[in-house]
Amino acid sequence: MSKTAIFEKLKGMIAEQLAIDPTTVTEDTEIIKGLGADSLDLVEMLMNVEEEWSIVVDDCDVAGLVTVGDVANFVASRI
Amino acid sequence: MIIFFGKGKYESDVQVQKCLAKYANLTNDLNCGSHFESITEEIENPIICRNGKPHFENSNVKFSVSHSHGFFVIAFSDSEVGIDLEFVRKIDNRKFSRLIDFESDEDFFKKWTAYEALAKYTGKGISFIFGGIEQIEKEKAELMNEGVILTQIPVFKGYVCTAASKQQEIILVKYDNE
Repeated sequence: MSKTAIFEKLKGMIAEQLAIDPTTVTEDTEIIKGLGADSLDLVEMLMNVEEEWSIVVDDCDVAGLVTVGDVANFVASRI
Repeated sequence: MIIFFGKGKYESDVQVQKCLAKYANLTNDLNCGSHFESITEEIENPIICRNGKPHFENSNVKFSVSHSHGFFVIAFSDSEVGIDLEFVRKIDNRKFSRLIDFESDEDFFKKWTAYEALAKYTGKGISFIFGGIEQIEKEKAELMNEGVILTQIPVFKGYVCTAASKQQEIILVKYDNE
């Protein structure tokens, strides 16, 4: 799956989870600052990512996942 | 410990800076916490470092911030502190039961905010929670043995807020955005 496809899928998942317009989500969008997500939203998002792509997010990975692009890159590196 | 609470979006440095100045005034007036001889340059223009646990580079005051769905809390203390605020909403039981054992939504949010407050207290952040329930409970027990107290703070209807600190005295101050 290309990184672009991953990002598009991720964007849709985030938009549905947070009930926001997906066109407002870019790779540079910060999950907490930009999307207004709180920590619980972020954790749920990462669990959705784990389920969607059958990957594991370790505790040491979490700190580096600030933007939507960071998450897409992370997924691309794990599948 | 003084906790400011109010309406606001994601924590901004400006928000923290304004509350720090109020904190300095209040500790003098209320004779609690650090005593500030005057409102110094460091208080008016604190430098916030977010590399690791957020802290002031030019002040010994400790702080912790949390926001959730339009509201925020900021705790200040002269000793380490962690605070978490969550809007109570329906959660995916199947997903979150992987992380935490809970009996109801209310039980979940009490436990979640406690774990997050401890995560912020230690500076480990959310990764603390991803470490697994056994690890979380072990670290929680160690922290509480060291004297860290978990206190539920009633700030907003429909929200749960928990603070982690070795201080028992807590003063709540409503913050109005100017």
